[in-house]
Amino acid sequence: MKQIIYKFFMDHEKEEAWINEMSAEGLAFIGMFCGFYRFEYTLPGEYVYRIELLENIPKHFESRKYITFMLENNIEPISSYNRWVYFRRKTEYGNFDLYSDIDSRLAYYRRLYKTLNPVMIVEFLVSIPWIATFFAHLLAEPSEFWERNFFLSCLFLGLGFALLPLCRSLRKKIKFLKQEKLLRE
Amino acid sequence: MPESFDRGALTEAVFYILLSLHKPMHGYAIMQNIERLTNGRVALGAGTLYGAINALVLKEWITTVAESGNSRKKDYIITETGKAMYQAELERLRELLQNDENARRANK
Repeated sequence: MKQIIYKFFMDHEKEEAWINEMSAEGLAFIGMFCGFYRFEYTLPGEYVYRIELLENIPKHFESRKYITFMLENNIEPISSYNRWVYFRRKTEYGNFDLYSDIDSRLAYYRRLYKTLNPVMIVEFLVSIPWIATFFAHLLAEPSEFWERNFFLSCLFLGLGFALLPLCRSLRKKIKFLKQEKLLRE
Repeated sequence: MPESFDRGALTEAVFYILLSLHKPMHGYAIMQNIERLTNGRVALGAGTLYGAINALVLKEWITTVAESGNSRKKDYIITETGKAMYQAELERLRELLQNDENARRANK
């Protein structure tokens, strides 16, 4: 038995929290395509999910070694797109975290930031010409494409703003961990 | 003289992994063993364990064991180099405790 729910996420932490909420209610995530999330019915809380950004795509031999290691630890890669992998493990095997000490968490947050921050910047930069042409339409020449320009500028601005809180929180976490490193291992 | 990294502290995760691998063990068993020994205080993340094991294999402090029965899970075991590093760490920890005791006696 399956269920499909449509949801749009830019923030993978919120996405992971939502998938775990669904799992706690007995809907276990099994795959996603273009925002359509597929679930199977299970016992409530049967699985815990973690979403990870790999250094390379899953087909890369380094990723495959990592995924093999996860499988040996009863962690199943249930779905993936691009470098993002959705891992899950049955809760009976205990608590499931990806990174637990300062060094590995710092390395992972840096990896996330290095990927997401440029994307956010590009989204803001790309919105600028559309905004400029939209204002040109408002202030000077009426343009027959003004609706399209307005829509596109809103779209890219929106995408940029959607990533902003996540990038900010990553920067804060990185700064915090760097300070912690001065005190502990 | 080049900088020496050999006399620094091992991380807690590495210490407990080396402790666990005095017997052949696979990843999940290492995680569970460490959690049991520390009463849940040290719960290693899967990614953290992967990084640590890879680094230890590269430095030849641990090595893989040819598994006989369960071919799905790879077992690891500590090497002679690993044992030496582990002993050096125990010495460092004893020194810490000894210095604390000396300081307390001196402050009485």
